[in-house]
Amino acid sequence: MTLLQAGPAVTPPARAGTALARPRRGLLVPALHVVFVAAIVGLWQLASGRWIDPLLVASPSTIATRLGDWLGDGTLWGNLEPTLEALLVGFVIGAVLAFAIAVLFTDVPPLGRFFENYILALGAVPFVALAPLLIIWFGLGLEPKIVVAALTTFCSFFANAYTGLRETSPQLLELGRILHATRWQRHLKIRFWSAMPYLTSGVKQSLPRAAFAVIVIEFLASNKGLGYLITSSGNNLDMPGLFGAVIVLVIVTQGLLYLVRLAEKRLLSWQPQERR
Amino acid sequence: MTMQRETRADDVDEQGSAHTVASPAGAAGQVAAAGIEHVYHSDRGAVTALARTDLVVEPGEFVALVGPSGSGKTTLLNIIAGLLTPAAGTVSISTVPTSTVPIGSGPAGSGTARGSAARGSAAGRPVVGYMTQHDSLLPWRRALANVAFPLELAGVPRPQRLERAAALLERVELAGFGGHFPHQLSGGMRQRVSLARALICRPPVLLLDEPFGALDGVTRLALHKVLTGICNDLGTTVLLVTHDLAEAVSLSDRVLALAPRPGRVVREYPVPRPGGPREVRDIYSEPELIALHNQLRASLFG
Repeated sequence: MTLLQAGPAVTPPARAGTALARPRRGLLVPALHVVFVAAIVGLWQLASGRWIDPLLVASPSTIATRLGDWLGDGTLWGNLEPTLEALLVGFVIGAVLAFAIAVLFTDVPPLGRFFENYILALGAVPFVALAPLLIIWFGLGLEPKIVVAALTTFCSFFANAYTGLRETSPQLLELGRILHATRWQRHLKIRFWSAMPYLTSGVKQSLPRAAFAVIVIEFLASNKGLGYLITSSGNNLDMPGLFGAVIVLVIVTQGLLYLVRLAEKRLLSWQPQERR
Repeated sequence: MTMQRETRADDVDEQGSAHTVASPAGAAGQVAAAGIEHVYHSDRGAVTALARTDLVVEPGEFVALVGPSGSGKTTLLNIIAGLLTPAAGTVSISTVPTSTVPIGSGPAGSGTARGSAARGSAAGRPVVGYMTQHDSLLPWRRALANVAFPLELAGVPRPQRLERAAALLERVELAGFGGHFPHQLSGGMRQRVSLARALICRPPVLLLDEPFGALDGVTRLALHKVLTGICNDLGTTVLLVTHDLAEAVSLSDRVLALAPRPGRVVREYPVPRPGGPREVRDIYSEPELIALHNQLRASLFG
């Protein structure tokens, strides 16, 4: 009998092993990344002027100089800010709307069954192709970009959110019924968390798509923004400017995705390691 | 306070339960099911899961339901839990007369809770604890927050519900594991957490659907002891569905044998039992219990 009682009353296991292995691995991989990127840039700089015509492909040093100038005279922020603003505002509007509708559809399943296909069909519409129309409606400012970012996010995020909310385990919903959970408690405390892995991957999917859509609108018609910076540099045959703007675009979208992954790591810390 | 009402399948609330919660003084935790029938409809036609069944479980009684699969054990339990609406019949569960008092202000958690008064009423409070073989722990909550979950839904303030959850975790011998996520716990530990969660609102009735079915023998015995101990203290009425006849005999006061096609209660076996607090009994050391076990086996599988 003492054995039975002693069995579960052990102290929680310390997580040895991982604590020892982490620090070394934690430094090694970033160091390798730095070496890799430095090697690529170095090779590029070396090749430029020798094997590559700098008029066709700008060298890293000229790109760096151009980015430095832009940083100094406000060109960089002046064009980065409108793109970021349109992207983030549009993304939030699209994601919130998509989540709200997904909640409504899970709450009233017949509604979901009826309208789901319309929303999925909306996702097949290439919204950037509507650019001329949107510009006639909203002008050249932020608005058409926000609308396109919101629509793109909405379609891509909706599919994830709706699937995630619907996939909630019947056992957990049964628990909610046994415990007399209210409708809001059911959505907020059971379905929302249960859908979390789908929601984070929905953000990871829709954010780059929305960024792409904003840039394309800026290509087509605008006088500000990273997309505008890319096309105007291209039109002036300004290779360092063109490459610089593209590099900034890559860094910014990857930076945003990095923040999303950080948030995801926290939000999904409850999942077993092997599923993350 | 009495809220007896007749309910039939065509007269059910939003939750889909044909449930009555009544509170005649002194009869806390009585379960009465009358004329219950249930039919499952599928593509291949209707299957009678449960033919007309009556069942009364007295307050504080421990009743086991045994029978082969298809005999309607789980169906009956789910109807009593309010998860299924029977095709016919009524279920009534009497609650403690003080059930209008907010859950948060029981003996363990004194002090009145703001906000809990509104939702802690007889209507908002779960009157049954429910536990199945597949633990339905919320995987994103640590053990402590899982145990406290029912209190959270009922609006009990955070410090109070965490205090009570911690005390109950200790009671199921999981002190020190409150910070673990379900996937970091063994199957037996998860069932301990589930048991604690099922009991945290001190429900007058505990419904168990093969809760120990997936556990090894040693773990199962340990959980039997935890279960009987807590139910003795709280005076909980227990309905246990099990396929393990030894478990049924060693734990319960009465065993109901069910048979399939259609599912129904075919016989009732009182378990000879000395007075005093209930204990997990070693059926192999008591000839009466061995005899009962054999009799059950013969009637069910003979």
